[in-house]
Amino acid sequence: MSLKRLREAFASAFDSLDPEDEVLEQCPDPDVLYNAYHGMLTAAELAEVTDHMARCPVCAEAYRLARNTPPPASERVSGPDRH
Amino acid sequence: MAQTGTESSPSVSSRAAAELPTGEEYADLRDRLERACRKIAPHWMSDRVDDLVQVALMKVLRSGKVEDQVEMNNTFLYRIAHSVVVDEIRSHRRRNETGMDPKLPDPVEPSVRTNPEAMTGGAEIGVEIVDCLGQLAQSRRRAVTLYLQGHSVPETGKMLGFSDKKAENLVYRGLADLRACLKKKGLEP
Repeated sequence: MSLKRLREAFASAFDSLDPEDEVLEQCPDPDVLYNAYHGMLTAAELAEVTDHMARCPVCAEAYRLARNTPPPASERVSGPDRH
Repeated sequence: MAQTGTESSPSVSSRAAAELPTGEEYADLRDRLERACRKIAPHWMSDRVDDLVQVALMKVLRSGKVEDQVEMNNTFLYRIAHSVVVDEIRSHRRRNETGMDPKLPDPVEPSVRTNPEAMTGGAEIGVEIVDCLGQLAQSRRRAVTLYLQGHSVPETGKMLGFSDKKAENLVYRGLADLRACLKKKGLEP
């Protein structure tokens, strides 16, 4: 299965998976997902967020939506260089 | 990780009300928030942008930063818009689960647009991918998850604090594990 197909299918999980209430109740604040995308979390914090995104398609979608936001001008720890 | 909810009450506190911008300032703020919401919101939410902007405006007014032009930059407004959009997505999911949103019969589309062929069975495969990710070793799962979210291998390594070589190894082996898991489920191109 190609990488493109895997990425599209992972994004599509948002449409069909009914996240368990238990997961939704533990969802991080949207700001945390914004900070995660823009490299403003420590590696340990990002690992925790990533573990959550792996099982919560809603938060995975929220993380992808942060692509459309400008990066903070400062406070950067590490993260993607593409914007 | 912060575990906080976000406010969504439409009322404005008396303190914030006293700082309400007027005329051009308000129109400019609203325009900027609308641009941010339109850019962030997925396609299926396009008919709700006006509501999103209204909620975002309330959040900005409540923040107490209306008179602080330094803080009122694009980053701050986009942060607010992103927060409002995510809150609305979560609310929408909850309403759907409880059958309280009858006016939205169409399936929700993810922000990543896929071609019709890819959409065929894509959602079902996505569910299986989530299941398989849960079976991967922790470090591989984290690397693969970020990779599937669109990051490159060097980005993934940098974000998780790994060297490029280690990140490449984790992504490569993690993807192999993921494909093997999908194959066991009968999902193979």
